Amino acid sequence: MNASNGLLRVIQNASVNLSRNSQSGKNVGYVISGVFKRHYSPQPLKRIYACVNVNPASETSSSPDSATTYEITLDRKKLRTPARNIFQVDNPGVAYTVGAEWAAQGKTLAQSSMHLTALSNTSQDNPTKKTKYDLSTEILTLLTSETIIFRSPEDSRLWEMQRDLWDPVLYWFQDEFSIKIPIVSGTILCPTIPEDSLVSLRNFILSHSFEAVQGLAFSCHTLRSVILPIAVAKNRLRADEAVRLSRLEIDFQSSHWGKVEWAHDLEYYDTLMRTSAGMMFYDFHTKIPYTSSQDLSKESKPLDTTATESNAAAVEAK
Amino acid sequence: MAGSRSEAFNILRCLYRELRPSVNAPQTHVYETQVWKYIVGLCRQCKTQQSTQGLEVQKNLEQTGRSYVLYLQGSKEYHRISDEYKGAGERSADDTAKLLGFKMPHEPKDNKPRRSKSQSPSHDTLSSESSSNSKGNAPDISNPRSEQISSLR
Repeated sequence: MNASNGLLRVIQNASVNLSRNSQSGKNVGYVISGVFKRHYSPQPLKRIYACVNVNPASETSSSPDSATTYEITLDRKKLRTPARNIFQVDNPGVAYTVGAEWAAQGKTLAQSSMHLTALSNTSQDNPTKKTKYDLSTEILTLLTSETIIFRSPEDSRLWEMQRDLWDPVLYWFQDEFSIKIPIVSGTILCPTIPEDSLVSLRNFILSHSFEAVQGLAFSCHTLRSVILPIAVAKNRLRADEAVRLSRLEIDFQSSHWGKVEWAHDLEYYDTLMRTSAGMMFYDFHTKIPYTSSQDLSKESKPLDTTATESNAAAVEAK
Repeated sequence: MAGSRSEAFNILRCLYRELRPSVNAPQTHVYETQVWKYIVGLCRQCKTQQSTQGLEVQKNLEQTGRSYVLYLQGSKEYHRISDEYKGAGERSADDTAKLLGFKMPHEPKDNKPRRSKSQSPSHDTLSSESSSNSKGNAPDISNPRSEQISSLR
């Protein structure tokens, strides 16, 4: 009886929240998670802003060494995160690239492909309340199901391709972090890697900030691999090379059986977008130095969404 | 050193090419956008550092620049393929109703006379015959007040 009364109260509260209308007023759904409410619309959102600017926020701290916080304004309105906080980042690289992402949108917003914005929002809101220790545990757990240690003995050509392309990266990783990772073939069971051998890798991951580990974890989940994103982080591979290595078997099979552009290529470019966004996010928080001496206070000119192709051609001619 | 400089210029050129379509306003160039000014500022800052640390910073900048180019290229190609193969979506309720020969509730109904079960087929036949022979072959016995019956009385 008490449990049913409690459930009834939750449903009543949910129905009160569902009766609120959104700004668009149509086709609005609510997804109530255990942490905060998100409302989404099945219709694509239209671009209602013209000008995107990245401005330093007003500094509340009096000390001159405090880091500058950047905010993004869409036509004088401040950009907000899904948790309705004002979007604020300390890193200028993240701020300017996220601003460029919003400026590059067309007549409708493609929010599902704005990965830099999504990574920044997740880092700021942290809806699942994770710490970098939780993320590092996730990454180390993912190492046992690493893509490049599972080989295919059924086809000799694929086996040789995997040996020639994957082995150098695997041996480099083993030398770099003093880990011995077994190669698995003929079984789907994940190997066991002793915890003691992961100390060096764990220390490497934890030496970065939460945002950098967030970007690294995003790339690891996208590629189903830990070794490949870390190779990109260490400048050993490029992002597109890492994506090609993770899709080696798919490319091998599609080269034999044929490729379907709306499936294979679409998946490749989606993976490439996610991986490069994740590694960019990692780089901005680790490798790229902050630059505070640039005078970027001049506002960008309003972006006219109704510009014709002739204007673009005029810019190209310049 | 010369090789890395040409690589850096190549990355800058690719970034310019990828950022250009996002600038739609007239009289606005990519060079005037905030993101381009930030990128150029980073390059100038790296150029002033000549030590080995500066070389490492340059490598890191090139790697990040390459990742950004790949992100923009991947995004462009993803949307191109998605728009090319995007389906027409589901049929609307109006189209489905027309396909099946139904009308929607908001559409006006046809005012056809509805045939009730109580009407016998003989009476209908008689009334139709009487209406067709109204000029005087047989009296209209369905209507007791017709002139033909009153004349018979």
